[in-house]
Amino acid sequence: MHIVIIFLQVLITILAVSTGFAYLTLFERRMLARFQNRVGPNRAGPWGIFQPLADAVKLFFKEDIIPSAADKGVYLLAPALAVIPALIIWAVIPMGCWNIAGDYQACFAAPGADGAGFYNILQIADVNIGVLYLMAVTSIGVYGITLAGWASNSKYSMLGGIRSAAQLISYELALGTAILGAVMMADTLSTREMVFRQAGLWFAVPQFLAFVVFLISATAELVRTPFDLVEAEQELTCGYNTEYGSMKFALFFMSEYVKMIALSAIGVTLFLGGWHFPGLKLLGEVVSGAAGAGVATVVVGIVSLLSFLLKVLVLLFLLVWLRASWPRVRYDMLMSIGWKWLLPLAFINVVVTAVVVGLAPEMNPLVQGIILLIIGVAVLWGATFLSEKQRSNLKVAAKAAVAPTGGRQ
Amino acid sequence: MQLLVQVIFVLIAAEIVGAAVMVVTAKNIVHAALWLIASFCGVGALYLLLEAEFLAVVQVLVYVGAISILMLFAIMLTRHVTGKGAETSLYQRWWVGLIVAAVLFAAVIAPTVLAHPWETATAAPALPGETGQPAAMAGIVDLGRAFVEEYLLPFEIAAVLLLVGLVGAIVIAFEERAARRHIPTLAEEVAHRRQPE
Amino acid sequence: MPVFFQISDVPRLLPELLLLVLALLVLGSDMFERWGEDEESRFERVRAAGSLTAIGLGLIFLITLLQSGYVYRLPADAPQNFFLTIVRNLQNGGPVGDPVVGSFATDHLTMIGRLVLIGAAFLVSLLTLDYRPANNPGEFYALILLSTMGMCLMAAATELITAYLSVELTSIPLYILAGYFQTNTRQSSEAGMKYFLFGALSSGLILYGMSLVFGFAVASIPGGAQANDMTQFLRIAQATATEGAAASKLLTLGMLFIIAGVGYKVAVIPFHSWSPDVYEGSLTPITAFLSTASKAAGFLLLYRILVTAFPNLTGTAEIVSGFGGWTSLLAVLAVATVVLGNLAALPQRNLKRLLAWSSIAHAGFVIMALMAWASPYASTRSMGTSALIYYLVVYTVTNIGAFGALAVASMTVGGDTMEHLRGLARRNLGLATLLAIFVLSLAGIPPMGGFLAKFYIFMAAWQSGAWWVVMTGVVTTMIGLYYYLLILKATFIEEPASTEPVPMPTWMNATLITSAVLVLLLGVFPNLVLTTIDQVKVVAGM
Repeated sequence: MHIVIIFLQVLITILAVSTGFAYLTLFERRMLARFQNRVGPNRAGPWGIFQPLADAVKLFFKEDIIPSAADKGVYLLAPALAVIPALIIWAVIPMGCWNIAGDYQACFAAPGADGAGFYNILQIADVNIGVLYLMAVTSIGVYGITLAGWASNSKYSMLGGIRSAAQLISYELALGTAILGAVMMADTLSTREMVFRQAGLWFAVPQFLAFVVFLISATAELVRTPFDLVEAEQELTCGYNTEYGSMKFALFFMSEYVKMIALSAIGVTLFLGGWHFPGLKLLGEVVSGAAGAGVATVVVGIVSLLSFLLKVLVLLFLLVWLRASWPRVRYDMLMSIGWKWLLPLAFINVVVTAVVVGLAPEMNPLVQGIILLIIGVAVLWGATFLSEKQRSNLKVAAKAAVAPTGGRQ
Repeated sequence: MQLLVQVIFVLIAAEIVGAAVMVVTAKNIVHAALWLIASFCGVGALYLLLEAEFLAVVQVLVYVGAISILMLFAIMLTRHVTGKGAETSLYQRWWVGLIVAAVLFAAVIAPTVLAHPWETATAAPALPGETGQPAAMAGIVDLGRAFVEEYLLPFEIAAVLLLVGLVGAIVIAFEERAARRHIPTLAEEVAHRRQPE
Repeated sequence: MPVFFQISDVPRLLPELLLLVLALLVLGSDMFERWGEDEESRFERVRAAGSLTAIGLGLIFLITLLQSGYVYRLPADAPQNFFLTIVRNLQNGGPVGDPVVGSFATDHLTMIGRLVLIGAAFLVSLLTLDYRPANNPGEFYALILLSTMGMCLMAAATELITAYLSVELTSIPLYILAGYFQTNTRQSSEAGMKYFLFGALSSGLILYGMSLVFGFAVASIPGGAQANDMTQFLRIAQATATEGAAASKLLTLGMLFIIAGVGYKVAVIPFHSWSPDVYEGSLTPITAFLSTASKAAGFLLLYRILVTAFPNLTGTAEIVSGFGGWTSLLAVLAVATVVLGNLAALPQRNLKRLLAWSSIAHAGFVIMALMAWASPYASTRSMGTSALIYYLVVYTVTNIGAFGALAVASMTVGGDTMEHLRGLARRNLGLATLLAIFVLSLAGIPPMGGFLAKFYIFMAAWQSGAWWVVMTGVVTTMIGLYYYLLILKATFIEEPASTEPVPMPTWMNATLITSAVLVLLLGVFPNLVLTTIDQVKVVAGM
């Protein structure tokens, strides 16, 4: 019975995520079109809702080519290695709270206190090291791209692969350190407990600095604009997936977008309160009083799921917005942002959090949150100020270097 | 249940050993690296079987997610070693190595394994902890405490060790570049920037 | 009940902490030097980093000496004032007390080990003031310092994890030091690579052995408590004290792996093959460092592990009947090492390789000192301990001197083969004399320290009943005399290629003279250090 439920959970999640991926592409294209004062795909079906279907059919029926000089095994393995991590991330993310035992109140109770009859069907696996699991799976996502780049035996792919390896490793550190701040606040590594601890105040407030670092480095982890040098069309003709076509390309495409949803979901879980929504508990109580606990459980489950999805959608919109607004960064800038700014900022955040939480562990969470927020904003402002100053200094120095001789001879 | 666990153990162990054998025998160096990754993943699975989730995930995070990808990265930057050149004299007298290894193995390991009074499943060892209860599995909290209590010194030494690794990496990477062209130090850069005023 | 770190434990770790601070200081100060491409500014950078290191190491040596209380012990009724309070606090961290957090002993063995190792690093840093690294001076000296810190930790470690980490902390800087500071990068890189590969293998062996030992120790406590302290040597010894546990082959296997791993680090014979190439390829002062300090630290660690963690597995010195335990194993290793090491040194023409083989042979002699543990009597055992440490002290000073003299010769003459040394006495008599002193000490000729050191070792091994080991040692010493005399023949008797006088760089000169004086002092007045060394009898918790 247990196994059947898990099987169903996995199946539904994968189907939902795949569909989500398909419509995310449509969402992105429509939004980008709006940003650029165009209309976007609107021919297939009303508002273009059959567009993803048409794309899928097109990709399915394309000729399946394997370059003759490619390393066949690795070439075929790479798309799979790209998709699998993007899908298994979802195992530990609590997408809502629908207690199968019919007791909605268990959702709001401290985990471990009386969680004996608690089984949330909107979270596949409730492991006590969930956050670490998320980081581990994110970190193995590099392999698909890197190996694709190597196995294609093409210069463009190779360069894309090397770039991706360097970029993903660099930003993983900042990402992990930013997450560490949230973990320190929650005092746990379990995703379920992380969400529980955010019932009052979302970690985006006390961990504002970490949240900003997380958003930037997550964008880099996703190799999306402005950090998409890995697949820069102009210089690398799409980088690692140059030599891939048909369904294999579709798999890379899919992994990219699924990862995008997944990282948004991680962001929501760790910083934006997960499935929590103000007044959710009250709603449960009201429905429970009117129609019994069973109905209340269903209502809470559905509302929490919707709330989770809404938050994910907000982050996804942010990503699309970024893509529409910003140009690509230069490679040395990419490395310098990751190593010289984000990582130190994340470390500062860890130290500040440790000091504030360690000095007064019993402080009112709101006061604590505001103190941390103020410090975080101040640090962020300082960093911006410093980077501006550095840039203007460099400009002056460059001018001075050029001026006396009138430029290079 | 016991049998199931044993079967799983045998499968994982076979995967680890098989992948490790492939690491040394694979002629393409990238393939060797990939087999190594497979072996690391197997070790992670073994930890999971021992109910050491933290260790399992850290194994994946550190070995699979960081170290192996760096190895791949290094291999890719030196592409000409990945070709056919690697398969030269290493494999010509493989049987000599095999015999020597087998004899040494027999001489050292076999008497030990045969003579040691292994505890079989029937005579379960007394579990540590109060009144026969198993001691709580070391969670991350216990682990963190051990780092600042019993294992404080090793923990700090490990920090210095990492510093050494960093300095060494800089020496190795920096050396040739320094010979090729001038790299300004912090002091020079500061002086250079101050000049305009 | 676990032991926690107390703030009062900080003075006990002071030498290591000071080494770390000095290393960071050297690294940091190099950043603010003038970095030019011309020879002059490079020289300036090397000089700055080198002087800072040498002065710092000298100060740390003095502080450690003061802390140990071997030359001056503050009387209990000394007046209270600012300076004396500092001294008092310093000496409170001296050779007393239980190991810090169970993993770091500050006993006499540690104290003497620190003095030897820091002293060796000091002499080496003086050598490098003239025989300079080709690049990255800040990192070069910082790595020497960090490696020295690792060695001090090795000498003091009383716990498996600390021991392993300190072995790594010692080795990793040495791989880089061996491989990356030569102008002749090809040979040097080969040295670094070889050293690294063998070192990594040996680290793996040590770790494997340690995990077996730890697993065995944990499994052998019936219904035991938390296993968190089962990595401590003392607890391992306790856990394996029972009859059945001591007889287990699994524990022996673990010990075997540890001995093999440490054997690689100290280059005893089946595990020696890296050492001639590495010694040849490295910068000569670094070779001196490798062959003395790193070996001494390795022996101190080996001694402490065997004596405190495996006292129940000592065994006998018989070869046929009753073969077993680590004394028998080490007897075989010692015999193989002295025989092969001395024989292989005979045909060498390159002096660095020759000294490399000779230092392999010397490792065999050091191991003989551990034979004393085959005897059940405490007096013999403590005699073995004294002989071991005395030998390490003498050997360290002598070998640094020998490699230093070789460095001067190769720097000024232009190479380090026998041919290059020809007729050195007519070109620079002082240098030739110094070289002769070191070589004679290595050979074990009476007025030098080397003679007494060998003598004590043979005495200890003989009393424990390992007469066949001693006989081999005596015979091979005579064989060794041949190639040592070859060096002297080339230096003093043969005709020089040119009569141009050889200059003597200042700081190397100072180092060589210091070492030579020490060698002679140790040989003529051994009681200067033997009284101190005799205090080691009680290694923490034996």
